[in-house]
Amino acid sequence: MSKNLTEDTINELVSTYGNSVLRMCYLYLKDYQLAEDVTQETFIKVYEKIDTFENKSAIKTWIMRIAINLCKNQMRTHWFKRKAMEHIPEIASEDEFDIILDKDAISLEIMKLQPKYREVILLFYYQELPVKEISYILNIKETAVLQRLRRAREQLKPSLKEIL
Amino acid sequence: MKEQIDYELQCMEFKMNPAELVSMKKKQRNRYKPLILIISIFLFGTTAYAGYTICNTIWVNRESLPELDPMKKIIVNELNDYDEEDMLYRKSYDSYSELCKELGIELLSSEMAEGNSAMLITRETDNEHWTQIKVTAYILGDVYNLKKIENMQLYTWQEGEVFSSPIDMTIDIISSDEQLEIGWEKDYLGPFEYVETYQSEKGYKVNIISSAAVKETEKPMYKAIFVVDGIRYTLSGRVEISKMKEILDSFHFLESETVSEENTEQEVVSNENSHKEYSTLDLLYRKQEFNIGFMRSAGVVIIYKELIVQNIANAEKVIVIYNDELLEEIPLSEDFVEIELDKSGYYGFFVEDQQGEIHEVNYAVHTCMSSENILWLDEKNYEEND
Repeated sequence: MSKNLTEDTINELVSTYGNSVLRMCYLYLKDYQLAEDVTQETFIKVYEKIDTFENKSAIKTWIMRIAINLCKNQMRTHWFKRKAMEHIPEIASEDEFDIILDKDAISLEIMKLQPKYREVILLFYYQELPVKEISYILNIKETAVLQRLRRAREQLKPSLKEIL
Repeated sequence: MKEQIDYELQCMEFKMNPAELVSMKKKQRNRYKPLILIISIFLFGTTAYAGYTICNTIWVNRESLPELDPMKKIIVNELNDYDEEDMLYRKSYDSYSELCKELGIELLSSEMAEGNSAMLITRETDNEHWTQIKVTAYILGDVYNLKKIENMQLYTWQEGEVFSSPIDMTIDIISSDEQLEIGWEKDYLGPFEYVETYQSEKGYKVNIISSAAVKETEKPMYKAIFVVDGIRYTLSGRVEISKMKEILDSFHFLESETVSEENTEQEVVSNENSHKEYSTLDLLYRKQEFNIGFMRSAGVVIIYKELIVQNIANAEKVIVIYNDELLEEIPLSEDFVEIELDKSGYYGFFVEDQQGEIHEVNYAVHTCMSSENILWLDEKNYEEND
């Protein structure tokens, strides 16, 4: 795919996947500002590396892989900052973003899961990717994906299990 | 589930940051039609002027606010301080006047900020299309017990009677025709709502939006956004709206250079006094505090892999934090990891597993003491923080 084609391609990719990547990153990181930054960075990387995309997987899978890896980098970086803020009474924050969710919201339940369960649930049920693609994204075996899905479902509320 | 999640998070919609679009365009040397501009023209079928106006619109939850004065192309002096990781130019300043002098342009200033040596000023730019200045704690008001968080442009504080928080300020400057064409929209999502459009005493048109208070004693968060001489200012803080208006009324342009030199001298004097005040009221200048780890002396420590894997499956590497900063990362490939601590300070030890999760492992760290070149273990050679 040549650079000359990427102008329309990036527009299309942003409009097709932008919202779902942003929402997935928000549920993964539990922080809107970080999610927005990661989503931005995801599409910049997609734009920069589109020439290297070798069609070994669907482009959606490729984008999700970039997004998940960036989320993990963010968690690693910001873990230490959050640790530093644990005992502090008030924090100055320039831009605040609070989603008001119903107490029974699925999003809330997903955010309660550990990261390794959160990511499989999001990729399987929200991004609707097959196990094989998830295995590629997370760089784990397909059996590991299935096992994490099973354990994640066990941890969710009974009412949600019916949906799943 | 997908539909349910999309319904719950429907207010979240992604738009590429216009500044990033321009940077990408410059890198690839291609003409690039930004998504925002295309949508604007499609929806409104307007002339280029109206498209430009729309692209500098301020939005609250997808609703556009009344139009402000337009942003203009403003040329500022370049920065040399390049950040490789973030791929932009960034610099911090000790004073507002120093910032203005280096920018080479006049900026608005508030009388209420004079003498405030606590403000934290950061300037970021790509040296071509845009500049953003963030001033944390621009106006302190009557907040007290201010404490800076180490290595971050953030403070903690105690609420005053009038100010529940300091007032922060962001300044947005567009410096190229390209960026002007694309614009610089902002959309405040979440529990923000439009309050009113206010005209300050100096005639500046200001859009005021608010967000609800988090707790009973807090005042609501107000954001005041206005454009003067093509530069956009955003004030942010928890005060009553009447106080926010008073702050807006206090904005003016700094005096000329000869006069400002006198002001600088006065500012230095008041800075000194402010330093003294802070050192008696809080710990800002008294001692450093760190939040991660325990106090350790310089020397050698050992971490045994066996102790780690008993609790953490797939442990991959050891992460060492020194005085709240990342010191080093060491693969956990051998039976033990020996680490030399060059200096005394606050050390935190963590392990990262294959899934990227971080686990605290200070319990597994043993200090070595040497006696005539013989190393032996002393398990409790550290003082606890607090």
